[in-house]
Amino acid sequence: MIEVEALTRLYGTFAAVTDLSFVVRAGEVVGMVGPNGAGKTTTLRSIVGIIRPTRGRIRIAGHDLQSDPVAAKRALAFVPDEPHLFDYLTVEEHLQFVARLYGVSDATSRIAALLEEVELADRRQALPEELSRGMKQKLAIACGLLHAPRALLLDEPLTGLDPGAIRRTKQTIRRQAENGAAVILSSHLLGLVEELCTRILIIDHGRLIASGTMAEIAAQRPELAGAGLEDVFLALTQS
Amino acid sequence: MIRHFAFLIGREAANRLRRQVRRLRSPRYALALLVGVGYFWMVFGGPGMGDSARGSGQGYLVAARYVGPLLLALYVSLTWLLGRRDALAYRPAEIHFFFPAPITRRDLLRYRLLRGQVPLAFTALFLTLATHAAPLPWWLRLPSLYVLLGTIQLHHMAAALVHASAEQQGLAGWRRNWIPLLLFGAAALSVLVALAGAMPELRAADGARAVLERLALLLEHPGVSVPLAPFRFVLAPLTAGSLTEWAIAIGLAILVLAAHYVWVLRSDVAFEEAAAESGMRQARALDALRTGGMGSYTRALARPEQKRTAGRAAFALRSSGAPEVAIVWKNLTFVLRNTTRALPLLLLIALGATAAILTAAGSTPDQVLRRIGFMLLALGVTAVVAGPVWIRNDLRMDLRFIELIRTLPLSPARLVGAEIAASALTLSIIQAALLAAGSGAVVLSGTLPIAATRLVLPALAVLVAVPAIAILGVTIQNTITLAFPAWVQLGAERPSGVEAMGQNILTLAGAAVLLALSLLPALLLGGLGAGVVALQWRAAAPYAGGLLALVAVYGEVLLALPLLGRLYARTDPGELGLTR
Repeated sequence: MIEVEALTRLYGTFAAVTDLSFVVRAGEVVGMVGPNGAGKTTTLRSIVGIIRPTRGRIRIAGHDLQSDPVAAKRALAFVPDEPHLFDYLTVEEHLQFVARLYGVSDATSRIAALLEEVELADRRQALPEELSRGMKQKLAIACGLLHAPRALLLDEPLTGLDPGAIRRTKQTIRRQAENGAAVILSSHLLGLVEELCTRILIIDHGRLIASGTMAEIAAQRPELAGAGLEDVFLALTQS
Repeated sequence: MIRHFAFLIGREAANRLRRQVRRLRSPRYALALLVGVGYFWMVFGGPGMGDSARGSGQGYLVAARYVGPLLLALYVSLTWLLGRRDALAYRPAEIHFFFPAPITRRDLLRYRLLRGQVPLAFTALFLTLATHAAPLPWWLRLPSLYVLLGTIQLHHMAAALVHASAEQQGLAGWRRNWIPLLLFGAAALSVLVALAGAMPELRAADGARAVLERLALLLEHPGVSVPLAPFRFVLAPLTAGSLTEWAIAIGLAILVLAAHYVWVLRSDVAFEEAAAESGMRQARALDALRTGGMGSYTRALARPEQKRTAGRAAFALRSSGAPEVAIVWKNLTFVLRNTTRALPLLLLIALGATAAILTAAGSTPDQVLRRIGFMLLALGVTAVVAGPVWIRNDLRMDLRFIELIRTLPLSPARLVGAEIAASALTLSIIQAALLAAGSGAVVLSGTLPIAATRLVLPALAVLVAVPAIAILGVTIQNTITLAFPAWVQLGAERPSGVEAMGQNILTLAGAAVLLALSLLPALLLGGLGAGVVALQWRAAAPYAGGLLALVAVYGEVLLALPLLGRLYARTDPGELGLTR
């Protein structure tokens, strides 16, 4: 479970995120959408501990990120929009590195299975510079999944993937939720969000302007009844 | 085009300055600046400098006239042998905007030169202040140093272009540059032959003054004076005795500078061809740049056909056990895979060449071994002092990946500890290897005035002390990085080139002062302990004192780790300029 309570992040006097609260339960896939500069990335980075919130509280799988960051981080995985890889470690070594950090017990078999799943088994000895953008993204996803996280945060996870990989990644995300992970998916691909997510958070100017299922959000604006996420999103963020 | 470039560089410099001034609102940056300025004033302008200034003016003249040309020639030779690809490095935004733009390669080179002028001017200013003891007034010294550094910068670029051309086009690339290569080869050979001939006289010279006199005579030998003429020309303004003499000297120096400028722009043809050869290559280099920084970019650009293989990892990493070992493993693997294999070979060649020259000059094998031993010891001591600045497989490298390492399930203190351990371990191995090899050579030479067995304990003591000093030095470097992340260049490679010389000297001096200060408690405790033990067991006193000092050093580092962890946890990725 991911619990965010009154999250606020200030940059000087500028508020990137203001008083944001939401909960993502185990088994849920929650879509986070918003215009550019809305505060989505700041929110994700705060949740995974890259930046410190100015105010507010974040709990991952019951562990407070501020007071017990190691336990909280052990339960989560973050796949950023730009894959961050060490240019001097091979594909397999990235996974071995992650396995040691998270204490993955059955690492050898899990690494082999994941490499097959993301179609990198034949590139296990390759360095990142030999991989295409999509392959790097697949490796970043594999690194995120290796320790079976209880909270999974994905920022534009499909960027650079080919159609086959997109389909498999979508299946993987669903499977993670079915296995009990709380998933946050941030994307500008509203069709993807609509297809995968059980609930949606719409953020604008650092504030949560709508949350719930499509039906719940549309119920707040009767004129949007039956409209797709794109119409709902534009109506809410441009009004 | 130059006007547009000047606009860009000017705006960038102004914006950077504005940002730096804004950063001074933060008390820690403001305080650090004050301390830095105070240190600078104490060293270069403080009380008591006047007398020493008058006294050492002669030394400055001697250095600039006699030692300078030889050192400069040696430095330039190394540039030719090793290549300086960073002289051709462009930043990602420059590549993005300029490379696809309708800009000639010649203008690209002009831009690269123009961009180097601001740091070059800073370095010239720094050296002007640092050479306050010189008899030449500062307003003549400043332009003289600027011309000298500008010539070296152009020379780096020319050598880098020759190397790039040769690496990309093989033999054809070398053939294209046959004139500079022939000139350089002939000059080097001529100086080496003359030097070898003069070696017996130099060896026979008694005292530094006599050596300098022989050196002055050697510089007048046509075999040396002709090849070294350009070096003497660019150094001559610094030793001018009058304004007229300076005006003539600076005129000649500017001529050498202009010749280099023409050379660089003419070399542009090969660079342009190579750069335009393949869009694929550029894309691959850009990709390498994104993941591995400028070093990877230049490697990918310069050696596109050479497929990089992963190579050996530091050790087999098990999936269970202390997680920080994974960080140490990763950083040691980086060193193994990114250290050029030519480095030990170059050291061997240098030692072999020294042995050959000494043997030719009539030294006995024992004397040769002894001198090589002292060379290695000197290198080891240099590694102890400057090593923490050079070896950067710690937070200086990994803060680039802060968005990744922040999410790892490791407490900040343990992560910082692992990062420091990786660097300190690398450094300790290098230092211990150099010191052990040096001591071994000196002992084997049989020229020691005391029995070798009496040196066993002190040697062991040094080998035990070395890791402690290494860990302290690396901790200091990481403290600076975490305390002032905006002032430190992140990445595996430290800033290099003549442009960054001033900044590097300041960093080195600052780190040396901090190292001395942090060794103080250990020295005090060790001294006190030795004193107490000496009351009962005199012979054991140095070892007891040393042991206590070691405990104090490790204690300091252990005490520092939680504080550094807190600093790391508070480091804002925005301060590193890494947030998008």
